[in-house]
Amino acid sequence: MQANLNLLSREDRLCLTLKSLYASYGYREYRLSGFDEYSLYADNSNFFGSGEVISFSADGKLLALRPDVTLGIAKNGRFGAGTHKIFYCEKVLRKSAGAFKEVSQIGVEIIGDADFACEAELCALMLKTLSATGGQYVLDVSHTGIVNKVLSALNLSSADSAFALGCLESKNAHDFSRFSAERGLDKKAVRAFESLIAFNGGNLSSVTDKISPVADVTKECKELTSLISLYGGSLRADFSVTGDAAYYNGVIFKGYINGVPCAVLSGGRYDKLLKKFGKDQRAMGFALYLGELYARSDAGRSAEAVVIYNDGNFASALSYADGLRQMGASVLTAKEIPENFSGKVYYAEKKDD
Amino acid sequence: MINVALPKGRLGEKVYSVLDRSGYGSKEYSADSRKLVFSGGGVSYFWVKPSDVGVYVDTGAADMGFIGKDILGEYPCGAYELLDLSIGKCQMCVAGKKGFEDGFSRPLKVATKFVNSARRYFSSVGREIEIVKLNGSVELAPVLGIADVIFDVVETGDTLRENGLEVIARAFPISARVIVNKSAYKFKTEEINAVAEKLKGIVNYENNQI
Repeated sequence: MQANLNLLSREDRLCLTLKSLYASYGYREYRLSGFDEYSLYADNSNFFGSGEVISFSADGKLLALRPDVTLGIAKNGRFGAGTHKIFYCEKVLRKSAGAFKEVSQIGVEIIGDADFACEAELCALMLKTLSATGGQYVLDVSHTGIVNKVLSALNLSSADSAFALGCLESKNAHDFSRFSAERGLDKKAVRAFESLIAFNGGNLSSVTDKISPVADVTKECKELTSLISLYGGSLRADFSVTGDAAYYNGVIFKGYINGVPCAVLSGGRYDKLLKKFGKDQRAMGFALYLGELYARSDAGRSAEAVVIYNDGNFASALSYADGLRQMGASVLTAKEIPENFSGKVYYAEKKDD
Repeated sequence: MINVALPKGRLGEKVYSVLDRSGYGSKEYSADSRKLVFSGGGVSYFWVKPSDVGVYVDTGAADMGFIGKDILGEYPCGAYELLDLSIGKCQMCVAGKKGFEDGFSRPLKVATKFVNSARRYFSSVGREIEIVKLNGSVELAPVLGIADVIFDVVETGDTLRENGLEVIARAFPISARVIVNKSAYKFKTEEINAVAEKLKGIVNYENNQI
């Protein structure tokens, strides 16, 4: 029997399309264990953001159900010299607001000699991934190097840095302005940081002019400009995209689809994560959150037809349904018409011999 | 068309008045109406409970919302905070009975509706606290001895004075803020910026008149 791909859910079809896309770029599929040591996730919870880790104990060891894929790959992956390009399609499990949540993720990682060419390729894959969802999309890109240098120029305590970063993430110029006045911060550094908050796409020179008196971000801006000139259009610089400085050290991305209320894709360069695990390698990657993408879509596809049987004719019903299936239809057998069923209804009236 | 969540009550009425003066009024609006949804000027409005504004914006039901900083501080959402409307101005304060002195010998008992904001504030000043969560008439707590201080919104200070309390510290200023769903902002940038710019113009003009 030939597989009828039309019967797959939207999520499954997208996964299939994306797996084919990544494979066509020569990436190989990576499978990892569903659980790992609790400490891996508890110690690095800032890497994957919100959500409590679900833990359990076994043989005196505290284990956790996987809340994130990249951490497992970064810690457990055995990658030798050279560049390793992989993709995965996995489920992650988290506890959020008291409820257990299972979320599907599909993503790509490049580990090893991940240079600018890899970054550009990753960017192309992110844009193609967003495009494959079928919606109008935008990919925002920022650079942690630029943000961190300007933040350093403000010379803040760690709590105040967190406040300033919060203002940047929420494009909140008014509270930052009030805060900088209260703290009596250096005016040039304040203007540089305000230019990051106010930047809304377009030419990066509007921020570099303001930043140059307090920090040299020429290299980082060149990197961003190169990516934007390569892909333009749906790829836009936006410094409100931030990531934990303990892990991310270069470009950082967030992808949005029109009609989906939150980011569906995130990624970036995270060489520091590899260093945390004692690996002298560079790394970058991204993940598409399928759960966010299809959170509002309809329930699974229903059958195209139903064959109704009774106690005396189920063998005929099964045979008739098989005949319909051979013609390519998805056919359910049931004793009664399912509630709200909108497909064709057949009755197996003939009694079994 | 952009969807806007307005907080029911006094703040919402003030916000709508600014929107109206900015050219985004609706003929369907009536202060006496109990209709929750109305539209006009390319905007679809709906009235929601003030503490739910962030939820409507976060889930994308509203592209834009208007919310007091007290609520936003208590229920943070993942939205952009584009503008301070400078209306509904007041302060989040720590207040206690007149002459109260914190002895630092035990955790400070703090009565409040704003549990998350209180924890954040006292943590920022390095003071260990014990929260007494109340849903109203917070000023009673120090008077009846169930808390040392309160952490609450203070507008004129009249309620505090009438109950023998005084402000000990000011935590953060409060006013109405314009929040915007991040994804909506990517795809309706011009429409949203147009509303924000007009609001900013009106607010700046009116502030300069005072």
